[in-house]
Amino acid sequence: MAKILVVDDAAFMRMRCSKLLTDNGYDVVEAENGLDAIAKYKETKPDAVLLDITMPEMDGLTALKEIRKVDPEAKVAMVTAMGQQSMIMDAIKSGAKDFVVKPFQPDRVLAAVKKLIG
Amino acid sequence: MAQMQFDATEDDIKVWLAEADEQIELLQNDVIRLEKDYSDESLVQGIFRAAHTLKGSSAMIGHTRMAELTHAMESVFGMVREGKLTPTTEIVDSLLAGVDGLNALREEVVTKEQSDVDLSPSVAALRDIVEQGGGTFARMPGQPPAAGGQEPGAGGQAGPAPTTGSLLERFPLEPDEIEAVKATLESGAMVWLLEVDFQPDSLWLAVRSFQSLNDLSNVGELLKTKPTSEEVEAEKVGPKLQAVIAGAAEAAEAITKTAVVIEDVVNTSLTPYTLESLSPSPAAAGEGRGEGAQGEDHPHPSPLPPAGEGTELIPSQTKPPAEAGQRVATASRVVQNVRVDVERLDNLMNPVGELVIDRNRLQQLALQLETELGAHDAVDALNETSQHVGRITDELQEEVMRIRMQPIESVFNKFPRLVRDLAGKLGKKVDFIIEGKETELDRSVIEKIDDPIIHLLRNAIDHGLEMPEERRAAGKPESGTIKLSAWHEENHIVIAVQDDGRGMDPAKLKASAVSKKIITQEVADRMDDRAAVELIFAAGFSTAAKTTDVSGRGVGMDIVRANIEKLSGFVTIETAVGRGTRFLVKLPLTLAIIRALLVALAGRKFAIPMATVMETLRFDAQDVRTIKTHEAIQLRGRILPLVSLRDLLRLPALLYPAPGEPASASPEDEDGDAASNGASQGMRDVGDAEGDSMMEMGNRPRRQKMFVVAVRVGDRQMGLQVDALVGETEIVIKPLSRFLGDVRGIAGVTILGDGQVAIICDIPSLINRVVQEQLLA
Amino acid sequence: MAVDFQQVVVFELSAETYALDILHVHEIIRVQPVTPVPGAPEYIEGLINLRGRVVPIVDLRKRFGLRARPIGDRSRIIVVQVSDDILGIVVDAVSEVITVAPEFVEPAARVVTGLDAEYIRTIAKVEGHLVAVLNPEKILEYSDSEADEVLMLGPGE
Repeated sequence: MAKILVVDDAAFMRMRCSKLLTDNGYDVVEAENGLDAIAKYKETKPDAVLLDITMPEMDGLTALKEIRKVDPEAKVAMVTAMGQQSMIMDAIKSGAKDFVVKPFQPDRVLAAVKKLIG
Repeated sequence: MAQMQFDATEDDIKVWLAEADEQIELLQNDVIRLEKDYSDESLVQGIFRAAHTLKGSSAMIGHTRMAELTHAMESVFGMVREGKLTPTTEIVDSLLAGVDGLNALREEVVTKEQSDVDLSPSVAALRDIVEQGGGTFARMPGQPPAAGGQEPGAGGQAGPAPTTGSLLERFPLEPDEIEAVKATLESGAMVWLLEVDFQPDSLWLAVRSFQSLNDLSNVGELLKTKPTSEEVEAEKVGPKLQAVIAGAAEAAEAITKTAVVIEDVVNTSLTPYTLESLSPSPAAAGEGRGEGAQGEDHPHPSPLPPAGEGTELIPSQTKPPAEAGQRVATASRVVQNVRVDVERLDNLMNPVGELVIDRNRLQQLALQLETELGAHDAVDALNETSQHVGRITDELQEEVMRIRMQPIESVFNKFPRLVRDLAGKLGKKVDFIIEGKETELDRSVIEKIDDPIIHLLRNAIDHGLEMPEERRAAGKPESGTIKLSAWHEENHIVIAVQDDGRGMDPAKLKASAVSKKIITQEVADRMDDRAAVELIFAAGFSTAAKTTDVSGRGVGMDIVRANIEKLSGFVTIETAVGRGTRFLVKLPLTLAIIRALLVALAGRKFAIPMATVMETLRFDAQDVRTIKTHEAIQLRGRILPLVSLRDLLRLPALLYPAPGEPASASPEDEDGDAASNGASQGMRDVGDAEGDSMMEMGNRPRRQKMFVVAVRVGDRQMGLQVDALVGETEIVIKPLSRFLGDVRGIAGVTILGDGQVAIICDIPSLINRVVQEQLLA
Repeated sequence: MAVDFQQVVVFELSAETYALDILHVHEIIRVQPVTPVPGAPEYIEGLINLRGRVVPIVDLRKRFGLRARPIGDRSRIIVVQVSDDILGIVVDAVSEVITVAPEFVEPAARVVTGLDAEYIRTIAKVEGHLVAVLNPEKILEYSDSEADEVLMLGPGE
């Protein structure tokens, strides 16, 4: 059972994403900000991470870098809303493998996760 | 009403609402501050985030109109955040209209019915604001492009790149580039032309191109790309990506696979270069022709995000948005929150209240037993247990009270908008300051306190503040200041509404009261300034009709005071003509459990809330002075008027039978046998009148001890004479039975440790009574 | 209206006999000292503590201007409850609890006693005489502003 870490400060989004993943056979761990994400990553060692770009306190990009420090092989896809292309490009440079657009379409998310895990 | 369908279950919607309400509330509270505080980064960032999050979640459930409106607002906020737009009053008005729209849309999620609210004017207004500010109103994903707008790929290739034409026709190369490819081929490696077509209307072309280039560079060597990496990073991209890529023969599969799995890719083609195809041909030189050239003719396809949107602020230095309130992540831990049903909080209070009563009872019983049995192991054990129960109950009570406490912020937040609207309607200029909104008070008080405050604010704006011209003439700044503040004092919360307006003129108030037949001229003449000012609380004094109503009701100050007193609080006024007025509302932190002073009156115990008690006094009857017709004593240089509490409460001299007296035993005992002393009378008949005459003025033995409780309400002080002082204790306030109706002078009842029911005195009301009586005497 | 047999508590008040449906009778207790409520209507004797609950005690005779009677050995307090409202009425004596067959109960067609007709729900025939069965809701109806006008002085008080 592959484990996915879902990180988003918006509870509703988190809930929807988790539901989608668990309905499709994945295990889900949730985090609501960057710090929490790092902690949970260390704790649960997920197979992939869906990481929201815009979060307060520690934004997704920084969180991504921190997670990659913890695990250079971490498989992360950024989750983003409109118009943040350059930031996503930065994220990809920092090791993100893919990105998913908000509001997300279920099949896209599943496809991205599949692609991440390989 | 059209039915609406949302892409969410009922449970989903609950979560959605909880979050959406937080965002809407923040927008409601903070947007109004943009006019003045637009340079406050954390404020603007918080507003932006709220709109952003709300946009996302409303899109998630398929509430398109809401997503559209929020998107428009987010665009404006984005520009403010970039410093590209300064919020003028008109802009803030448009944003506030947007917030109103959000409320209506939020309702739709609850009722599942489409409301008739038309948001297109709001959205259009916001779009205009963005465009006038030099920004571009970006489309939302899923939205059809605006007519005549920039359409990626509209004129160009709609379908896959035709693979006809020579390689060099498809992708022109400079002579040196051709040499490089040849050299690579000669070294034994393969070189291909990879052509990738993306979904033309994808909004993510730059990133997808970037992703492609990034991934491709892992499986082959990129010799030339179009667009180049720089162009891609600058988001100068089109729906087509071409790359000359070199690698081992086996790499072909990997390259294709890598290119294909990128999202938004509709077509890829991988064509190997051969030495022959690289031979220069006239057609390939220079001029842009064929497919490759078409890429350059496209208008810039990717929609410009609202100016500067590309860089998300990294808010690590800014404070968390105030509305999230509870979400404060410190460096080392994250605060967790639990949502609790409000009803459960209420239910917690009752058992705790009962426990307090029982604790008192236990203490009493332990004492009683000790008196009767003397030293005894069981008594010791009971004492110990009773004390322990007492401590635990105290802790529990404190915790529950703390849980029930909420910052007054939730009440205060409604007011800026209200003040702004009302000031606007009345043509007054107002600077509204709020202080101490983090001050906490009990939930139940919070629910009831907004009405009185609204009326006080309204009063300040309407009657307190002068019109701008008048203020100017008086040498005051045109904008009047209204300050709403809250703070704690002992076990109370004090709320002040202050204005720097015209103040209250006692003479005018008296004249007005006389003409309204509230008091006679004679009484008016005798009145001191303080009493005159309090005339505004008299029923019939305020003519509500005058006030331009904002919330729909005109209510007099007498009702305001009554409502405050219903909360066991009181209100006082400080005023100075020409300078302004301050109303002070003092409320207990909790309605349920208070400390009280027990006193004996006519054989019964009565409770006086400690909050009103200044001190207790004991002195000789001869120290009593008589001033005009009223009694008083001197207390540290001040005169303290004396009143018999028994008279004030209209108690008969002796209430009979009195339980707990040596003669009778516990209440469980035989009935009115206690009444069978002599005349068979009722349950509470008047005993002899002896006690009465003892208290009469001038008839007291000089050395008779007098017991007085000095109380204070606002700046009025009074000494209440009682028969004896019993002690201080914590009591649970129980309401007076509905059956009794409204009994003035009584705040409630309580059950004492000895099981007796005791009356709790309503000190503010009693003091008022004294003032009235003395006026009319 | 009782279709079935009705169980009632029969009691005496100012030499008249009345009854109350046992469904509304919370309990019957001895007369005990009350805490008077200054400023409350005259017919309210005061308050008692009934196992943690504060219950007002009412003298119905005073309420209806009937002939007062001193508290005697047989006086009792009937605690009446209808949903959340509770109240104790002082009575001269409680006679018995009996079951009345439906055929012996008729609606109150005419005023038979000193009490206001509204307080009477039905008339039951008990051992030969007619007994007014009281309407507890009416008893529990609270007074509005019957509180002492005397206590209000001056403007707005």
